[in-house]
Amino acid sequence: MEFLKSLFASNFLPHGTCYLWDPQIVWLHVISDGLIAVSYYCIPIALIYLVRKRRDLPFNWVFWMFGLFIMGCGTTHLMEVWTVWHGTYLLSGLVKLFTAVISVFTAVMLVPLIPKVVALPGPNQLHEINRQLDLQVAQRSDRERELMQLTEELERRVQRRTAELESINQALEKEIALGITTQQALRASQSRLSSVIESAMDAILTIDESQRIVLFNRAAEKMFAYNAREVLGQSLNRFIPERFRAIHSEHIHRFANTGVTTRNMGAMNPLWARRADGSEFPIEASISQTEDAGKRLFTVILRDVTERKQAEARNHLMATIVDSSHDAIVSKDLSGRILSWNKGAEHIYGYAEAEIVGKSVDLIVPPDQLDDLSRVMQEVAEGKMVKCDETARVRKDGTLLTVSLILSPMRDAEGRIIGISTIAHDITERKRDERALRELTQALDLAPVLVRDTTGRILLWNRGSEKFYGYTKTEALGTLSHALLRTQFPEPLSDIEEQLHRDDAWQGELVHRRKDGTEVVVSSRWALYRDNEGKPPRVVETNTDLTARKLAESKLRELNLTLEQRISERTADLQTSNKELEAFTYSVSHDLRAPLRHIVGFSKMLQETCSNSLSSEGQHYLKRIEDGTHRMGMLVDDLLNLTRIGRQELKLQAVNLDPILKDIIADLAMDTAGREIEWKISALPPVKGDPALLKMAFQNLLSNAAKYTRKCAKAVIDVGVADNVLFVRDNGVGFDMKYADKLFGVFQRLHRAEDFEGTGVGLATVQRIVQKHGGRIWAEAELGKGATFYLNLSFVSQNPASDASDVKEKFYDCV
Amino acid sequence: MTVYNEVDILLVEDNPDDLELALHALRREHLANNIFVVRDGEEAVEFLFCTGRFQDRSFENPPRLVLLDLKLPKLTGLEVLKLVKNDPRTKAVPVVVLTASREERDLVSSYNLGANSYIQKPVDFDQFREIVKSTGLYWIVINQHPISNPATMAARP
Repeated sequence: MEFLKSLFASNFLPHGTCYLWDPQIVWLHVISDGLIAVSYYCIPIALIYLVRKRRDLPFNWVFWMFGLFIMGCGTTHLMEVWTVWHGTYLLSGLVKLFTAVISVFTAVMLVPLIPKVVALPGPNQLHEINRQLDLQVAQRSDRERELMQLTEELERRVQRRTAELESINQALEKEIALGITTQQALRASQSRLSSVIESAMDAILTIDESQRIVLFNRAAEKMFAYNAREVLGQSLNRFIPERFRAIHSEHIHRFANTGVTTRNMGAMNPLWARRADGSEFPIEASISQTEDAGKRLFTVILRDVTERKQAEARNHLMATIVDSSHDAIVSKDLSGRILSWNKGAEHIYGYAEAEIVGKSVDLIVPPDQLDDLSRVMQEVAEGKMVKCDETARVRKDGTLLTVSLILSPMRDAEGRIIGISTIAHDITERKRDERALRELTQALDLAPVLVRDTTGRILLWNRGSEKFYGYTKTEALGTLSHALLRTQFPEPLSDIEEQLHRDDAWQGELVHRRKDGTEVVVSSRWALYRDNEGKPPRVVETNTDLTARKLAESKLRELNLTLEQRISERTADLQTSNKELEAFTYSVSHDLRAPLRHIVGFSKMLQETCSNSLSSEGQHYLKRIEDGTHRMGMLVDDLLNLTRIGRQELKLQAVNLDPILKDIIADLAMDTAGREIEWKISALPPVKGDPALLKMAFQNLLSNAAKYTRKCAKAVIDVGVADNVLFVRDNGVGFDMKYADKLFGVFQRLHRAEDFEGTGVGLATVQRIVQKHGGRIWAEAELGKGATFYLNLSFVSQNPASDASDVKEKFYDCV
Repeated sequence: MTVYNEVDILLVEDNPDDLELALHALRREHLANNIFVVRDGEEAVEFLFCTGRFQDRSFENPPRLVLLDLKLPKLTGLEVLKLVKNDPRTKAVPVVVLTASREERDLVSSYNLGANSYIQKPVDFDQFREIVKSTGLYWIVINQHPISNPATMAARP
């Protein structure tokens, strides 16, 4: 009691005090806690309802635990409301303790439970299981329905069988009643049966289970050449070739066990039987088994198929022949549908058997031939055999063929025409060859060809000959060819014939006379033709007209003649112009110099006679006139030299340059007096050339060298040979190589007249001379360092093989 | 007319300039008193063969020297030379070819035809005068004349 009192004792301030009795706060807490409490009390009610309703739920104690725990929670919230106004915190603490204990216990219990709950089937799995169960149930009910139907069927059968049995019973009763009559009928039937067996075409024999013969009909007697008496009761083995006996008896055994009554024998392999004389023959057999008085009997019906096999072999042979033929062998029905198609046809027409059999023969016939074909087929259908030597067909690839055909009717056993067989032979190639041969023959006919015997009598005279010679075939045949054509031979005929018989051929130029009397030159080829039959040889003579060629040749000759004439005309022209040129230069040398002389002369006289009255200026002008005239004179002289070189004829000989150079240097001595010049002249090989011209050339080169070294303290002028080339080198002023191409031009100068006098003709003259010798001149120089002139002239002793006279000269030199 | 027969030098020259220069040179040296000038080949031939314009002349008095140019109107110098040297009446007359031609063939032809000398006129006037001087000196003074006729020589005007 004391404890209860303490429970409700409120020595503490109510919780509302903490809220300072603020009505908003107080009521917020009160209403919230109240609502939570109400909700918490509702949840256990729902859980209890669930557990009550679903007693199959596993682990339902957990729900009880949850219910209790949530109830506790609700009570704590109720206590929260209570403590707002009443400070009974012991009571509210106890309620919390109770709730805590329940919560902890529930939580601990849940730990082992979780995996088990996870393993529980979910709603999807359950749904699948349900579906399968429904299926099984459906199947089960189907099967039940079937069982019901079967049961019904069974019942119907039992009823039917019962009815049948009843009717059989009735029939039996009737049969018994008819007993005697039946016996008689049976006997008659047996006798009929044995006569049928005896008269059968096929051999019929019956054996018992131990293969002993119990029946052997007449046909069998005939087939095996045994009497029935000899074989009845004997083993069947004597009719079976030894090698088949074991397997045969095994077959019979197996057949007995199958329970089948009848079967054809030898489905796999041909069967063979053996006659009394041991000879074997092919058979066809069927076997049937019957039971008679508990004994099993086997009846075999045999047929001798020797003839059929032979026929088959013949057919096979025929088929092989047809297939091995290179000709197309095709059969078709009367409407043109193809029935058979051999390998030859495949090859010729390009269609495989499988793709064309059953189709119309029109496939291989060109459209323009279809009418022809139907006409021919009509004829064949009326029983005629039609041959066609040449007609066109189309291959599968569209190319045209030429074939020869034989179409013949096919008849059935009754002789009715049921189809057409065609044999086609491909003659495309042969036709092509024939055409080529025809063309060749035509081409050959264009050329004159004749064949004669060895006496010269013409045997063949082609169109070419007719046309060429003018004699017709009738005129020519039989005559002697040489007489007819009045042949002119290049050598005696006997020699020609000798060569013909030795070499079987001859060829040469002949002159023939045509019928109109004109002569023709021909290139004639004769060939001796011997056949293998020992006939006398013949001469095939082919003649080619050379008249046109001869004419062309003579024209050419004429042309050559006129050419020579033209050349001499041209030469005359040239000579004339040369003469004119000479006259011109003569005139230049004579007339051009005259005024110069006059100017010089008169100015001199003026100077002499009027020297007193002339001022120094006037004197100076007179001097300039004199100098200019002098220069003009030199120019004219140099030019005349140059033209003279061009006109002058070369007098070639071996020229020793040494004395020439010495002379030149001596001549230069006057001009170079007082200068220091070192002349380095190497030993030079003799040059093939004109001594006067060579001297002129070196005069120019050396005087140039002396002139352009004028300003050197010490001039060095070098003349020598390097790599078979003559050179003249100086150490003078040289020149710029970019003007090298102007060096040899007439009037071209690379230096000013004040520095170095000159006309600009000297090097042109040297070049003219060197070129006239067939040589070449060129220069290398550097401004201020001198110039080198190279002359490529031919040396006498350079090439001993070139000229015998050179060798001789050299020889003399050595001596 | 007698002047024809007293000729020391017959100068055959068609060009007036050349003629003047030659006469100037000859006279300057006082080598010949009587110089007779003809202006073409034909006139030269008439003079030497005493025909045509000179038919009064006599072969007795040939010129002591003929200075012959080659390039002449009508008859060329070579033609004149040929006639003169082929005729026994004139053959002995000294003929010096005085020409501007440097052609070798002229030189060769002249000597072949019997020219006594061949002189090329140089451009330089001093040289020309020198040549004229020595030629005159030689042929008129030094050379012994083949038909030396003192009477004629004496009969100078």
